[in-house]
Parts: sequence; structure tokens; C-alpha cells
Amino acid sequence: MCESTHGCHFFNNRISLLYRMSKQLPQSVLIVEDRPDIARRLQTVVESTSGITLAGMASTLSQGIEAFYHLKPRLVLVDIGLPDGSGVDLIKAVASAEWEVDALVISIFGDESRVIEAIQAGAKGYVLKGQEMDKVGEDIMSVLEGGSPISPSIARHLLAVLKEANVPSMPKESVLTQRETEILKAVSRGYKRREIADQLGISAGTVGNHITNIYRKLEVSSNMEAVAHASRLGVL
Amino acid sequence: MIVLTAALSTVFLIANFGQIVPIPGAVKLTSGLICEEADCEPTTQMDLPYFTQKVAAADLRTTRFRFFLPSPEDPSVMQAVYVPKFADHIAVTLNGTELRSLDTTRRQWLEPQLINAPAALFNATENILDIVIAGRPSEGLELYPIFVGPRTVLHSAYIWRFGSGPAFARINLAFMLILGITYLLVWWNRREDSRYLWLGLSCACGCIVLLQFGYGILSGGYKFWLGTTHLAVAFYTLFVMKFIRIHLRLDELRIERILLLILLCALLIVGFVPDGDMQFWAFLVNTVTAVAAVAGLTVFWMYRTRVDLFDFFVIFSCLLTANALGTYEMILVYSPQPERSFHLFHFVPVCMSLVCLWVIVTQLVRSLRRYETLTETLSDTIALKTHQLEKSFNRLAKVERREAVDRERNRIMLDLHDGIGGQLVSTLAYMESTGNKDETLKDALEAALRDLALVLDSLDSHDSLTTLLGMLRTRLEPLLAEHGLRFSWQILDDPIVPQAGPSSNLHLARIVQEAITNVIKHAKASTITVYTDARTIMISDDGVGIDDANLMPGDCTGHGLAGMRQRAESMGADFDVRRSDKGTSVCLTFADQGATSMNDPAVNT
Repeated sequence: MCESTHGCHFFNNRISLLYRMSKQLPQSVLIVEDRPDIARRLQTVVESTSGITLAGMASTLSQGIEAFYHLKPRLVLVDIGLPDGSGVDLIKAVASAEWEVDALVISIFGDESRVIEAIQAGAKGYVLKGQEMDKVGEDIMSVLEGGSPISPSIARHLLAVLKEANVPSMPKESVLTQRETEILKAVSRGYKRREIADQLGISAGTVGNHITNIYRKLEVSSNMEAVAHASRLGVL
Repeated sequence: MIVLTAALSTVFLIANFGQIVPIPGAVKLTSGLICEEADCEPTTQMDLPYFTQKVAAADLRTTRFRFFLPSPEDPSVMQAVYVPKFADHIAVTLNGTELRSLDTTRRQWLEPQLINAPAALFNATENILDIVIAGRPSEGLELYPIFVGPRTVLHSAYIWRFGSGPAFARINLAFMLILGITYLLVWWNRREDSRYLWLGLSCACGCIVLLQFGYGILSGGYKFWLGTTHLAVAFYTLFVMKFIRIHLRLDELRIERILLLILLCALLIVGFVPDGDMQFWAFLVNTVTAVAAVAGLTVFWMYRTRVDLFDFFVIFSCLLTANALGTYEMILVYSPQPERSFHLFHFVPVCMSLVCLWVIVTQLVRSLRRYETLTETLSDTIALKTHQLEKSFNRLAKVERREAVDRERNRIMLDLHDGIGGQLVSTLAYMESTGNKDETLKDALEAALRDLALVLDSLDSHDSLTTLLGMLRTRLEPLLAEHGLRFSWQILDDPIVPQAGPSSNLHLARIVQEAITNVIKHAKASTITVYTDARTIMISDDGVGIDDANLMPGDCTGHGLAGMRQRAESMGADFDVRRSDKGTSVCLTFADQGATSMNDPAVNT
């Protein structure tokens, strides 16, 4: 279901994955999910996906943070809605960790507002927990390789958030280029990476790189969500 | 300024106001005898006007005059003696009968005398009129030509001279009193504006001068009234100067301090000055005052740009006139034999008071105008600000309402997502982990999950139908892939929906979902084309085409066309289903809104 799992982009990134895997095998994964069935399912996915291995599991935020610092995993799969707090706090801890570690949000629908909040906190993307097991594994690998999942709704949110970066008080690093804006518009209208690439006369991999760049800009403008919120409400 | 003052003084001298002219029907006495003794023996011939030499002595001295009169032409008419100008006291005797005795309680130097002389007192042949004049040698005694004749003939001349002399001074005195008290009261209530204090004090000084001109008060002794009168003139000049200076927004002038210092010195030494030398003392005080007045006039001229042109003209002319009148008075007082008999100095206080009143009133009028303009502007500003505030308040209330709705929507979405969504996913995971192969149950759970996603997307598509369609594509693509179908995506523009919002979004999502379900179930197609522009949304396939029977109204074949039509109408769209050789198309057309994509602020920037 996640677009990043399809197309040339995925295969192009295989080479870098192989390179990284040769250097650091296997990559340990910490799962922080409070629903036992989903946690078990994700456990199965991780265990059955080559290249990654399960470091540990936690069902609350406090357990998750403790396990994170104790196990020092390469990857954290974290649900936002945990019983004792928001997974975003763990994502922030991941973003400021001293070792190389990425965080992915576990989401049911890729609900954009929470995914964007997570990305702003430092998450690298999201995985959908309702998908086929193979696809969940592919999503994890894709994000690890640097691919960034994106949905029309997320694209639209990004446009609304990053449009505000065009005011002089915002950092220049967060201003969208014309090409990035074109790509985001096309994604928000439901076009797939391959179709966008054909329309713009570029490769699907380049479209993926653009999207990754856009995610970086979102991190730069992490404190602009309030501004975008105000914009959506018509205050600005 | 000196030249101007001198020129205007000359004009007053040439004009010769109050000149003693012959009165038709009356005898004008211009020559007589001065009696050396009380019985008028021996005598010396003299002509009127007569002046004694001014000497430094302050005792009261008298001079006796004898005139010879013819008999009245008509003895039945009441006769009178009219003495237009003398100084300072007078006694009149006709043929040995005293008509007016000497009154030394009041100085009558400015007050003409009309004394009744009954016709019975007149002799048939010759009549003797004895006049005694008393006064201070230092000031000089004087007697101007005398008229004798019928009272009615002399009365009008007397009235004119009395009216413009002492009577005018007395009226002015009342006026100045009222004005002075008013100014001081205003100052008491508005002490930050010292102009009213100086005006009030100047009026008080003016009153002292006018008392002398109107009544010739001699209380307190010679030195006291003489000193008080001349110092009053000097202080009057000082106070008016202060008023003008403050009105010009200037700091204290050096000339003010010098004048004040000199006047204080004059006040200190006055106790040591002999009575006979008081006139010299007064002369010095008057000279200093005159110099200060000219200096004040020069300062006003230098700072003339600080007042309006018209105000300047009025104030300057009055100041200049006051200076010229002062000079004219000094000429009259200090000439050994003044040719002019009519004093004008009592016009100065009223002239200056009027100009000060003018300044105050015009300023008040201007202040009132400014106040009115300010009030008007303030009212406008208040109205404008109130309007703006009202708008802001309404906007804020609207924003707050939207925020509240947004919060509530987010809460519902999160509840649906984490609650029902979580349960559905958990159940699917449970089935998977327990090896449950019930495909019907699994399909139903997946369909429920898709439906939930549809509702959530409808709630959170930011009023953009193309984003909603994009999300639908993302959700449905795996399902299509399972059935060997693919999308041909042709999204050109965001359709403009009459009533955009989650409700319309959900209607559209259901229509599209229904249309796609129909394609999967019935069409045997390989491609589903989704097309949109500003007015159209079309879902078409390349399948076998819908049966004509199903296109009839009242369709109940399970294609759900009636429901789709109803939803389209709720959205404000025309709904159309067509069959062609290439398959079936479902088309929603919106009325032209006359604008492009106004409901898509994010994408169309």
C-alpha cells in the first residue's frame, strides 16, 4: 500500500541496502506497541524479514524508553497512542540518541496529522500495521534504505505546512523549490511516483529523492506546525 | 518703534481732541486779572489759558482771578459758568455771592465744572466773577478759558467733556473691576495658565489709575496717591508685557526683570523723597515705564510670526496706541504750558483690556473649534475601532468555533482510528496468528477497515476532493490489483463543490467507491479511468457496459444507482450514468461557480 514499496526506487536502493548490510548485520529492531496481537504480528514480520532482527518489545512508553537505552537498537517501531503517553516522546529520544538509530511510526491508516507530527519529531517514516505481512517487511526495509512513504493527504499537509516557509521569518532551508511543489501537488492529487516521473520527464528515483528532501525540510520547519494550523483556520 | 510711537503721538497732538472752542450764545472769557491779595488789590493783567510755573513744593497754594462780565441778554434764562479745564480745585464767586466753594477733598483736574448762576445775581451794568484756583506748585496750577451764558447753551459742551473724561473713566473702572475679578477667578481655577493672573493684576492696576482719572481720590496724602498712581501705570505695563510674552510662548524677558527691579527700587526710595520732589520721582518712573513699553512693543514685533496675522495686527495696533497715549499724556503733564487741555490716558486700560480679552476669546474659540474637531475625529476613530473590534471579535469567535469543531473532529477521528480501527486490525492479526482461514470474515473485516478509512479520509481531506480521490486510490489500489484492474488517473483540477466539507466528501467517496465496486463486480473491465476538472468528476471503465434496464429510474438491481444519485443531489451535482461501446461512465457535473478552485487554498498556490 505504501508507495515507497513500489517501483524502481525500491530496486535502485537495493544496492545501498546491500552495502549497508555488508557493514552492519543484522539490524536490531525494537517494537513499542500496546496491542498484543499487533505487537505479535509485527514480531513475526521482523523475525521473518531478512536483514533485520528483533532486539526487544515493549507495550508502554516508559518500558519502551528504558528498553531503547538498554538495547540500543538500530530501528524503533513505535505506536503513537501508548497507554502512558505519546510515542512522539520516544521518537524525540531516538532523534537525539548518540548512536545511529531510526524511528518509524506504526500507523493503521497513515493518518497524516500524527505522521507529520512524528516526522517533525524525527521519525523517518511510517509502516502500516494492517497490511500483508510481506508488505510490512518491505516497508520497513524501504524506510531503512532512505525511502520516504507519502500519501496524498500527507502531501497536502506538507504543502500547507511548508507553504508558510515562504515568509521571510522562516529558515531558507525549509522553502520548497518549484519542482518539489509540483511533485507535492501531483502526489496530493493521487498520482503515483511513476506517473509523476513520466509527467515531469525524470526518473521515479529522483521523485523519491525529492520527497526525502521535502521530509528534511519538514524537520527544519518543525516548529511551524502551529503556524500552519493557524493558516488552516484562516487566522493568517 | 520709537518713531512709530512718536508719529502716533503727534497725530493725537494734531487731532487736538477736546479742544476748547467758542460756544455760540455764550461769552468766552480769555483775559482777566490776577489778584495779588484777597481783596484783589493790586491786580495784574493775564490771558487764559494761564499756567503757574512748576516748582518743587507740595503745599496747597491758591491763585485768584477776576473777570468782568456783561449782563445776560435774557435775564429770565438761567445762567451758568462753565469751566472746562483747571487744576486742581476751584471756587467761584459772582458779584460777591459764592457760587462754588473750594473743595480740596477731591482733585478736580479732569472734571469740568458747570456752575449755576441765577440771573438775579447779575447786575444791569457790570458783573464781577471771582475765581480761586488751588493746587500743588510742583504740579502747576492751570486755568483754561471760561464760558458764561445760558445754562442750556453750555450744558451740551459740559456733558460731552464730562462724559468723555471722568464719566468714561468711571464706567471703565466698573468694567475693569468686573474683568479683573473674572480673570483672577479663572486663574484660581486654572493656575497652570498664569496669563490670567497677569491680566487680573493688570486690571487691578488699571483700576487704581482710573480711580484717579474718574474721581481724583486724594486719600492717604499727596505722596501716597501720586506714588500709587504712577507705580500702578508702571506695574500695569509690566503685567501686560508678561501676558503678551507668555502668549508668544517666550521665556521671561530681561526687560521684565529690569523693570521690576527699578520699580522695586522706586518703591523703596519713595519714603525718602520729599513731597516737593515727588513729581521728579514720578517723571523718572514714567520714563522707565515708557522705555519698557517701547521695548515690549519691539519684542512683540520680533516674534510676530508666533501669532496669526490678524491677531498680530489687532494686538500691535493696540499696544502702539497705548504707547502713543502714554507719550501724549507725558507731553501734557510735563509741558510748562500745554497747548492741549484734554487728557486721553484713561483710554489706555480699557484699550489694553479689550485687546487682552480679544486674545483670550479668540483663543477660546479656537480651542473650542479644535475640541469640536478633535471630538469629531475621536468619534470617527471610536466608530472605526469599534467596527474593527467587532469584526475581529466575530472573526475570533468564528475561529474559535472552527477550532472547537476541528478539535472535536480530530477527537472523533482519533477515537475511530485507535478504537474501531485498532480493534479491526487486532482482529485481523488475531485471525492470522490463530490460523483462522475464514475468508468471508476476513473480507468483511478488511471491507470495514476500508470503510473506516473512507470516513476518516472524508473528515480530513481539507475540503479538497482531489486529495480525497487520491486517498481513495491509495486505499483501493490493492483491491483492484487483486481483481486485475488498474487505474488511469486523470486529475486535471479540483472540482468546485457548492457546499464543500466533510459531508460532501463522504458523499463523493461513497459514490466513487460504489462505482468502483460495480466495475469490480459487473464490468469485466481492465482499466478504471478517474477524470476530474473544475466542474466534472467522471468514473468510467472499459468493460461490457451496464444493462439498459439498470439505467431506468427506480433501479433495484444492486448497482446502487439510486443511492448514488441521491448522494450526488445532496452534493449539488447532476448525476449521469451512460453506457457506450467502450463501457460505462458515471458522471457528476457541478454548476459553474464562476470561479476557479477557490476551495483549494493549498494546491492552487
